[in-house]
Amino acid sequence: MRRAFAVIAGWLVAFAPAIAAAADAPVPSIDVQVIAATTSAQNDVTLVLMVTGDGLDPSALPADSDQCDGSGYTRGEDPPEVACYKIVATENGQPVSALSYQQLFNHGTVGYLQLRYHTPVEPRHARTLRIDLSFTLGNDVVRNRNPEAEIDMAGFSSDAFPDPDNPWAPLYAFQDRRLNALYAGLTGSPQVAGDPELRSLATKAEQDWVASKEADCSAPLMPTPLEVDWCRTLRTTDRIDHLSVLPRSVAGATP
Amino acid sequence: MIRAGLAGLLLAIGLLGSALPARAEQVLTVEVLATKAAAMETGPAEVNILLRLTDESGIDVLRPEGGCDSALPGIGQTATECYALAIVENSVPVGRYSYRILETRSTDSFLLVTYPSTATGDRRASLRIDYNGFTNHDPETVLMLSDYDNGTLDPKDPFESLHRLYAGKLKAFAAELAENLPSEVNDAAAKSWRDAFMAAQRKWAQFVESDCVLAARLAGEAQRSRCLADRTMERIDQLDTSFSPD
Repeated sequence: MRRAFAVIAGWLVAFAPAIAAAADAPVPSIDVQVIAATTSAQNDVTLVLMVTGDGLDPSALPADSDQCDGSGYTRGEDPPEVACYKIVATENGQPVSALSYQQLFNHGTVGYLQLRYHTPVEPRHARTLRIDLSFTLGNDVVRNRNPEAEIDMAGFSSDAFPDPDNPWAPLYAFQDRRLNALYAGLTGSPQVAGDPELRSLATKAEQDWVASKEADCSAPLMPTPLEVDWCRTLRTTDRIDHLSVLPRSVAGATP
Repeated sequence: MIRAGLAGLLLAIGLLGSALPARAEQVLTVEVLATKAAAMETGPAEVNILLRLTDESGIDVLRPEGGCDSALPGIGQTATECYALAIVENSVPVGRYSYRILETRSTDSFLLVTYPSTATGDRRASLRIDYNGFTNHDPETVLMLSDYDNGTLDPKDPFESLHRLYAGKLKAFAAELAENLPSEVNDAAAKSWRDAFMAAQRKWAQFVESDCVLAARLAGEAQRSRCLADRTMERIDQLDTSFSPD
């Protein structure tokens, strides 16, 4: 408890002037994007979510879901020590049941979650999802900007998420698409496209990166499909960072 | 009851906020990585120190990349985005200094500090770093500046020193991992795991070489050292996350 007081009080004392100066700044918020979704024959739904912070420090996002079930902002012994996401989801306006989530990883101000719930909507009906996701920062609540937005579940093919226990597979596919867009922006930029030697260097670097990633993320170093996809996701996320910081003149796309 | 007390405390602190004096809380660890003292054609010598700051606060005390000068009004306060430094060299306070925050990644930040020095012979210095009441541990500790990296720091290319230092750490860490395999790897599989790990390290080295040639072509030769340093630090993190024993 003393530690919690000390951290919060220290933060407030240290940054009070900055808080005052930022009083007119936009309120920190998050964007929530569904990356993949799959629904079982028993109406159990598994989603992979990307939570993007706006106006937040990287340390602000909840980082550990071990004792969290989506029902409240904190879990654990009294006093609560673990910061959690509070998640309210409805499908076709009806509350979902048996909701739980698992933090996959945080990267900067972006977090990736696996969300599970039981949908009350029969499969034969069209389904729209609403998610209200929030967490506390000091004594403020940070929430997603548009919790009333309706997400059409028909837009997600279960074929792209074949194993609900392996959220890393669709997450890797998602990150790989982002990386490909960045790489296309790099090689298509006037500076690179008009310089055969530079283009050759870019191609070589990317080929060598792929070889390095695959060497890291194959058996026996990564013995299971889940570990392979986990490793590929992390390496690809790092590579997105590399290409994202290239000069604007050559980075023609945003991740 | 406890929540009510906490809410009351937060409210009181929030209201009093800026009226409270900043208190010293030691949450930073300073490590000198490399130094260089260079005689100038005129005037005093110039001392350069490459530092690593590690933040244990969990609330992002570290500042982003940028340049700072002791002449900046209010230096050390949050509005400046700069740390205030108190440097004492051979028992004499240093009056003027400047520094570049080269890079901040996760809980580490790297600074290149520069100041004019009239000291002769061996240089000993203590460093206190202050950012709105957050300071470093042991600010009175006196450091022997010539002890760090044998004075090989090139102030024009500090990332070269960073790369060299972290390349050494990476080599040692990779060797350690090759000897201490993950617990799920049994004796029969040890050789193939070790072979695959060493092959992965070679593939990574090949990638870094070609990637940093590209970085230099795209953004200038100075980017090569930074690219090499960045990739090497990142690789240590990758190995730690992916291959460290449980």
